[in-house]
Amino acid sequence: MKKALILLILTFSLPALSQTKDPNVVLNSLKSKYSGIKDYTVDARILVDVAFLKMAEKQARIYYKYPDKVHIETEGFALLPKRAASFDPASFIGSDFTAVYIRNEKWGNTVVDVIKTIPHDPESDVILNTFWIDPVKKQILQFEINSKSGGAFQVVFEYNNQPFDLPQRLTVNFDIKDMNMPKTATGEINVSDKKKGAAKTNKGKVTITYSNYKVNTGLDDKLFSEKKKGK
Amino acid sequence: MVKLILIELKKVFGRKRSYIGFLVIFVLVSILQAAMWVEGQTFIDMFTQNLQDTFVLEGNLMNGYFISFMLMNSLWVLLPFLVTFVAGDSIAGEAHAGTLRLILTRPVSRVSLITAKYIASVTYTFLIVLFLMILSLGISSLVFGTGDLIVFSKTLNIFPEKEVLPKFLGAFGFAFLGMTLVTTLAFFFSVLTNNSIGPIVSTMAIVLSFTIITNLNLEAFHVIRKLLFTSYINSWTLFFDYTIDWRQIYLSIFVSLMHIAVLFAATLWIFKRKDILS
Repeated sequence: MKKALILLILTFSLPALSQTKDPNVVLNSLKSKYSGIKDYTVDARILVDVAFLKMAEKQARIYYKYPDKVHIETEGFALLPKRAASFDPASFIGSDFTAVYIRNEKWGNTVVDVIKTIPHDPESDVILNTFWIDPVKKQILQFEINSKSGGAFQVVFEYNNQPFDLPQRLTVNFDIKDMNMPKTATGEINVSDKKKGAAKTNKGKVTITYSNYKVNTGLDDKLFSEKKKGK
Repeated sequence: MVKLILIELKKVFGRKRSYIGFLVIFVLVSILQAAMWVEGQTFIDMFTQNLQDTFVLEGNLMNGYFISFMLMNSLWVLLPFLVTFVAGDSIAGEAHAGTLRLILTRPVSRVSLITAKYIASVTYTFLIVLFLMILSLGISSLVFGTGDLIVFSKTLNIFPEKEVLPKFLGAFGFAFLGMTLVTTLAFFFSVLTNNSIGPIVSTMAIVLSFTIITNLNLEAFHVIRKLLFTSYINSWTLFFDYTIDWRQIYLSIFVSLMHIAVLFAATLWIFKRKDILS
């Protein structure tokens, strides 16, 4: 219902938005740019910044294979944002959606296209995606998700001459519900108990810095079937 | 002196009831380890539910370190009961049995005798804490493996594996100090009476009532709480805060040592002047 409403609003506001570009052309140009990537391996440094969670920066090795296989190896425990565990433009953009060109706007010294997509899958948690795309370099600079489950999810991409123009850093901003930890588990039974009630929503941030990309090395499917991890 | 200590240790470990503490720890740790084997992952999942909505969680948090932390948390309240058995019985037990007067007829100074008994009681406390550490940390690590430690403290803390062992050593070290304080208190009461039930009950009454006041979050107890040793002997948990409050740990060590020194000095003073009639 929400999706239909958004689609309706976007469709009727198209003239006002003075659509000048075909959004599908922009999105497909992005997809085709990265279509040469069949697989890659990359080292990642993951820094999680969530108010109720304290952990050191973690190292991980991420294996990706087209179209959607991801395998993560870490020393110890690590957290990766579900929707951005690996860089995969085809997965970010999706395949079955309605795209609407919204506007172009200044992004630093460049002019970027702002495109919204509405997935057709009624089961999808995503209501609306918004992309900020550099049409010249064919790079996603920012990506936002509005979901049924609520809460914002935003990914900011930074590039720095990595192989196949893959990103060097992803900064993921999101909303996350606060934790109410039972005192029996904390051993902190003398801690103030004034903050009872519904869990608050906090802002969280994860910064993933990539290095040492190895692209198209012919990763074996077995690697992903050992311990299958979806996104 | 060494001979005296060895004699006292022989007495302590010659009594069957001295093994109750070890047996209780063994049984409880085994039960809790079995429970964690079955439900440990569910327990972790329950606390990481929020994270699972947003993140891919990679790695194993259900490991020996986590179980050891949970065991330490659960059994901490029980330790004072276990250590008072021996310390409370140390002098009062002999007075009740009528052997104290007999011992003092031998050419042994009262200071030497009381010191030897005290060292034997503290050694027993050390062995109880060590036994808990070996079972909870050692056996759990062997059975469940090691890894990063997740701790549900003021925040959800995840410590890298390499940082965990020093934290446990610090925590168990402090736990020994805290239990030594309880031992010293029981030892102090042991010199005041002629039956071992009195010191054990008195020590537990004090530990429990102080713990209740310490944990009641009432403004009225704000000042009193700072004066009670129970506010300090739980400081082993500080080793699992993300940023360790060393100032509070040093303060807790100082307060515990002061209590131990004062209580032992008082025990010596009373025992030196006491008429041994039994």
